[in-house]
Amino acid sequence: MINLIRNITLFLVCFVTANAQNFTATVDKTKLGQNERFKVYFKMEAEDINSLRNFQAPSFEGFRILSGPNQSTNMQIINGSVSASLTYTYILQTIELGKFTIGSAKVNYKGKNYSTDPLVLEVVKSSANNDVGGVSNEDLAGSVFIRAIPSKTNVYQGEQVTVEYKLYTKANISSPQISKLPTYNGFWTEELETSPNIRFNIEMYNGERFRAATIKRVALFPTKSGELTVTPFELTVPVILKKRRSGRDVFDEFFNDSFFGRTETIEFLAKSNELKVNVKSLPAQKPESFKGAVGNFDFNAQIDKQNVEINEAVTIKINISGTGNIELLDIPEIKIPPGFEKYDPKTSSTVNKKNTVSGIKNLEYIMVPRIPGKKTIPAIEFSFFNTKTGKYETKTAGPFVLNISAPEGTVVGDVSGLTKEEVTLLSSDIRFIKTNSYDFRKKDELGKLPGWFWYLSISPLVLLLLFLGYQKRRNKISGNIQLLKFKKAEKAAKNRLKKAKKAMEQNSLGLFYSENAAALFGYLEDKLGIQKSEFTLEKALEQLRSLELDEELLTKLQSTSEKSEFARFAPSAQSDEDARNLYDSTVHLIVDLDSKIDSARIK
Amino acid sequence: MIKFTKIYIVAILILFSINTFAIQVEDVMNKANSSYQDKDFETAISLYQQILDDGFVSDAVYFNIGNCYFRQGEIGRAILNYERALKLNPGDEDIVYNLNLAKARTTDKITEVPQIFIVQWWEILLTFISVQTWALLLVISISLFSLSLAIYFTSRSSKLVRGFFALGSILFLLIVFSTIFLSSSIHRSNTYSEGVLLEKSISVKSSPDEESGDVFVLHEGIKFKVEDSLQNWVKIKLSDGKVGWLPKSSFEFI
Repeated sequence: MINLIRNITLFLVCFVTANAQNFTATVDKTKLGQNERFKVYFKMEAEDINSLRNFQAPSFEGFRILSGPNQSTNMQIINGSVSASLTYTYILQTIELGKFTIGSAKVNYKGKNYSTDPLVLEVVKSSANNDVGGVSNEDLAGSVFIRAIPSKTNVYQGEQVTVEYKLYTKANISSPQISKLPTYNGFWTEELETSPNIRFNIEMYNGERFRAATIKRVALFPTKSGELTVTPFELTVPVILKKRRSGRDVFDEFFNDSFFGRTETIEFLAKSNELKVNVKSLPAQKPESFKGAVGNFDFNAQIDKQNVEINEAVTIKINISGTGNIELLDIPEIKIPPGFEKYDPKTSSTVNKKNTVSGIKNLEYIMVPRIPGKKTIPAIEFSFFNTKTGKYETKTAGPFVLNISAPEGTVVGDVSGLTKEEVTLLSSDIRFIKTNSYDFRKKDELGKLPGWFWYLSISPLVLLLLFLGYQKRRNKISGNIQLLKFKKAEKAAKNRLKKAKKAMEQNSLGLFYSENAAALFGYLEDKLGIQKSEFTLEKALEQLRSLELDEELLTKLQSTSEKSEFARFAPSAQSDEDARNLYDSTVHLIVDLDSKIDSARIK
Repeated sequence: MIKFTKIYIVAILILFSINTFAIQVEDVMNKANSSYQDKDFETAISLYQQILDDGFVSDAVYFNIGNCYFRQGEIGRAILNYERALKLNPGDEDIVYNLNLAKARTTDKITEVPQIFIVQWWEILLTFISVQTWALLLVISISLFSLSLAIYFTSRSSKLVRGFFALGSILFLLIVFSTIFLSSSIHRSNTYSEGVLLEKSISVKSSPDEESGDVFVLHEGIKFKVEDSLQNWVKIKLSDGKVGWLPKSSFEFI
């Protein structure tokens, strides 16, 4: 229940506010004649019209906007309540017959968007009340129109088409205004000269007499092939019409005269026909020098001198004249042989734009020869497509032969662009010849090894090897028998001791004692490097002392050697027991000595 | 042993005989120099040429010939001879100066990439001593090395052994270095890969054929590398990388 009440109150509030703002679209009439003017109003009623934002008009498709939007405001205060309105007005003109819809206009008021309802309009054939002074639009179209007259409609790419726009009229008109210029898609256009004033001539067209005037002439050069279209040319022509009066009294008839007659001017939109041009592409097998020239041209080239000195400028003048797309021409190239300095050509052209575009193009190539000799500038070729014959034509000029001479004393070549350093070098003189320290070398010895090289480089190595081999052999022979003996002393002693032991076991004591003594003394001889002939026990002891062996070992040696010496000379006085003791002590002694001597030597 | 001493004696004799030849050559050289001073450059050139024909070369001869041609206005030949002199004696200040002066008078200005100083030092070192001297140095160091090895192997004193080991190592290094120098020096004197243009101006062709197209124009005195040769044509490369073919008659090797 409460909910329902709330909803109702909300609805009421909404209604009130909705009522306060009202955005409407209205139109003069909904049924219109062709080319008729009418007004469309978009009216917003609101308290605070200053807070209106973002008015968006609909697209008036199918109509021509003559003016608008024009704003007007209206304010009213009734019984203290303020009501105001803002109106946007458009003046439109119908174009074609049919039904048209003017879409919604939108506006923002205090953050809220409002839009109008679409309007449906019908454009019908001019009704009587649309006629101005009793002349229908169709009648007007029959008496004021523009014709676009092409010179040809079937052309080659690049061939000129002249289009003449003529205004035909039977009615009285004042100076027309251009409302829309034609667009020339796919053409390069050149406006042709026309007289500044429009001059009408009497001309018959379709069996009727018209006053006709050329208002525009254009030369078109198609830049691509295919069917190209030129859009109509539109002019707004003010047509002066007499205003007719209703009522047919004599008085009126009398005054119904141009002299007395009240006239009215209506703006009539005159349109030309659309043009279609069929463009054929140029035939294949284009010459190499063809660069898009179409028309009929003359070509010649001249060189200003044939005998020149180096660094003297030579000019080649090229002249192209004729009818065609002369301004579109690419300049022919000159193949200049090396040895020339070439500058960019100077170009000048004069174009005549009377009927067919024609003109002269002048080119000036300047080049400076930098090296002497006979140089040939190859022939310059210029090709164009002749529209009359429908064939390519190639014209040549040259070749030009130049005799370039270098006068005495001139420096051949371009000496410009020297650095400062080089300039100072140029102005200074060379240093004097060398008059000493010639350092002569035999030419055939340069980069060659001298003959003696290999002998002398290898011989020292051979000598070294020989020397080392010899040294080794001598060492073997003379060399260190001592060392050998030293190393073999122990082994020799062992051998003798073995023999001694054998003798002892066989009970031949004489042999045993002599072998035992020989083992001990032989060992000492070998180890200490004493010759057998020079060996004495004292000498051996002395050497052993110098090796700093301990005294105990030495006394042991002394006693053992004395014992063995004694026993040697009196073997029978000894028992087997003595012999065994002597043998044992000799063996121990030699073992002791050997280790002690070796360690002492190492020290 | 006797055989080797004989070879040494022969070698020394050869060196002496060169010296006696050199004395005659020096006479010719002095004559040529006085002709130069008398501004008789033609005679001077022919006398210098005689020295070269006799099989002697020297940077001084080439330098002086270069000066003669410079005086006669033959910049190409002047540059050729300066370059030859510079090859024998790189880094010589007089030669470099005159060469630059002659180059300033040539047309083609191709900036040469300057040599790295190490390369220049190397060149100077290579040419500072002739191949013969390098060879002699190598022979001497090998002999000394062998001698020190012999002493090293036979000596009993540890001091001597150590000393000769060190000496031997140094000598071994010396052998390695002089071998490198000797071989580089031989290689350098035996390669002729650069030329100097002698014609006043010539169109460099795109292929070894008189009918072929011109690639660029060169003027006398320009130095280039010779990369290839075919019949009477050689393929050249400029220091800026341009490549083309020239007839053999138009230039001479440095």
